[in-house]
Amino acid sequence: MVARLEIRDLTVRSESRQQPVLRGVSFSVEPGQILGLVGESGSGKTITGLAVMGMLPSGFEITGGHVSVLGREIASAGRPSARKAADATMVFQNPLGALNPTMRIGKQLIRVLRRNRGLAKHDAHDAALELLQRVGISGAERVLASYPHQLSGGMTQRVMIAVALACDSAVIIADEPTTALDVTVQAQIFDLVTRVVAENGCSVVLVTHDLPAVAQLCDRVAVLYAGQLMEIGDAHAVLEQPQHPYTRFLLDSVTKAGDPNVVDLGPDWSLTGCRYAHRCPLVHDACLSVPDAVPVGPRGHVVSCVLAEARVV
Amino acid sequence: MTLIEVRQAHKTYRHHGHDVLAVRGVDLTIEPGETLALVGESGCGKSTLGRLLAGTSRATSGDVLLDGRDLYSQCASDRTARRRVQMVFQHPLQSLNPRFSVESTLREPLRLQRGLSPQARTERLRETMGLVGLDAEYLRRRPTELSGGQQQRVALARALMSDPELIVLDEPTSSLDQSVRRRTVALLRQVQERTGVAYLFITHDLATVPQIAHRVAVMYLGRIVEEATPERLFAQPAHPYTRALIAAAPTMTVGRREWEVIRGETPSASDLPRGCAFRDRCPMAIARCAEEAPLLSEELPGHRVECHRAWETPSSSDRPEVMYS
Repeated sequence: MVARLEIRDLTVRSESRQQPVLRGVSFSVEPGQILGLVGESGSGKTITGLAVMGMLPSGFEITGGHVSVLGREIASAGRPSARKAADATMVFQNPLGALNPTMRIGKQLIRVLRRNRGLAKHDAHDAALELLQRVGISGAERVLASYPHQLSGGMTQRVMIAVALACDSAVIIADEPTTALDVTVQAQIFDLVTRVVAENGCSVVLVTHDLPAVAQLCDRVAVLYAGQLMEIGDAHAVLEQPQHPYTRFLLDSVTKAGDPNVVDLGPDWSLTGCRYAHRCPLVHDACLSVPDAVPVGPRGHVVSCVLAEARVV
Repeated sequence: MTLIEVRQAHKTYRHHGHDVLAVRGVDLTIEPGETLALVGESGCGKSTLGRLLAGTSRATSGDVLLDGRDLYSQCASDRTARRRVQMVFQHPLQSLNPRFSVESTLREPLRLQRGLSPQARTERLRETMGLVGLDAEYLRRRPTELSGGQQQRVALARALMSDPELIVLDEPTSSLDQSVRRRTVALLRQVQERTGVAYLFITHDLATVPQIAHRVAVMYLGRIVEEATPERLFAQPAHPYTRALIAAAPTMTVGRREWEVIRGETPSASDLPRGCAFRDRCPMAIARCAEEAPLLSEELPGHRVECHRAWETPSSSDRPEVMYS
């Protein structure tokens, strides 16, 4: 089976840092799968999503590896993005920032539909109505005639998902799509995402720092720290039998009380070996070198840690 | 003796020609050294209520009393009263002066306290830094040179410099990473144990409530709809909205689940439905809910609920698409 989204050894550098902000990140997402890409702020989650989209901010560039969708390369080092709307779309944390504030929802949606599906104006209008109904918007005609600022946060996020569907994209990158929403509305959006994936068979990358959401929404989990992929595997494996010390730390921070006397350390970008070494309780000399990704369990459960290497050998 | 007493407080704003009923008849009390968590979704009026309790905004009608006297007029007329209630905000970087070092930030509130010797001021600074777990090396840094967790420690330290009796914490951990959030909550508890300060802890994150609160009040569209200890509220939520909030929040039980617990979004506070404000979204609404607004009643000691059908379990005649955990 060809993976919908495949990322191989993706390395991204920024002008402001000596060390890469993404270092050799690899993962793939199959059709109909939701992968949770988790990590703390500044871990490179959003940069990964933007690299897939060919939307890296200025000063950032891909220096190694490649991204492909359905076997077709859409991004790699030194080449401009070859992404089409049908390959991947992105749903952002702040949907108002992603929609044109001066244009009615209907016009924006119809433009996307005409461009991507080659529909006539009248047919595009009907298709837009149908899409809005599919994402659970009841007063679809009224929403088509509205400007983005006239809609609630949950409603705008539904519209963004409708835009992604209008593109018939194989991959949807959802970057913290519910962080700005209320918990009851978040539940409604998660319900919608689950439904869309089941109906369309698209692949979703959910970028988030919310582990409980990942536990109950995602099939697979990838854990990122300071641009290094620490652990990846099925949600059950990673969240119930975590193998990487950092994954265990993340899980403990959800389930255990914190120690008020520990002051938080941010990532240390000067580290040339394991990026987590300066915080790791199990650190030793071998951590000075970059750890390899080691299979530790069935269905692609892989860990980047010298301790995992030692156990296998 | 009760520290803060709120009686039938209302706060109405005028916005684009409409009256926005942000707070609609709230009763609550906070005892010295206690933490009351105020939980609700955006637009429910929790920050407005927080500002009434911080003395920075005056109730349109009703009373907000500190030691039995009107809080707002005390704060307006008397600097020492203002010292007694302090506030910490969600975004520390926006609430700290970017041009002030940590030391200047923390010394600023001392200007309101007369009769302190320079030595006493420095001693106070040292003590407070210790209380929030910051080394003296941070004194010369500016806010942008600190991590989010450290910034929030500075914001808390600034509030503590006035030796307050109540701190209103408005979403103090919402912008922090999970691990930092836990540590900050633990720090807040440690500070409370050492100083005896009371907190109004405003949050939309139910998960942090049991770690810090002695009591929790759930707010919906300007009214408190349920109040209890966290243990009781999570074990036996009596209001349909509280149940929906608890059921909607993801947990660490791995595996796909049903998500949609209630429909729709919070209506606008300038255009409230008649009767119970929750009835349009409520899975258990009956005809009576449209005619008559329920009132907060205390059927069990310490557990107040405002619902015609409080304590009832949803039956098959209630909306079928709605699930409870």
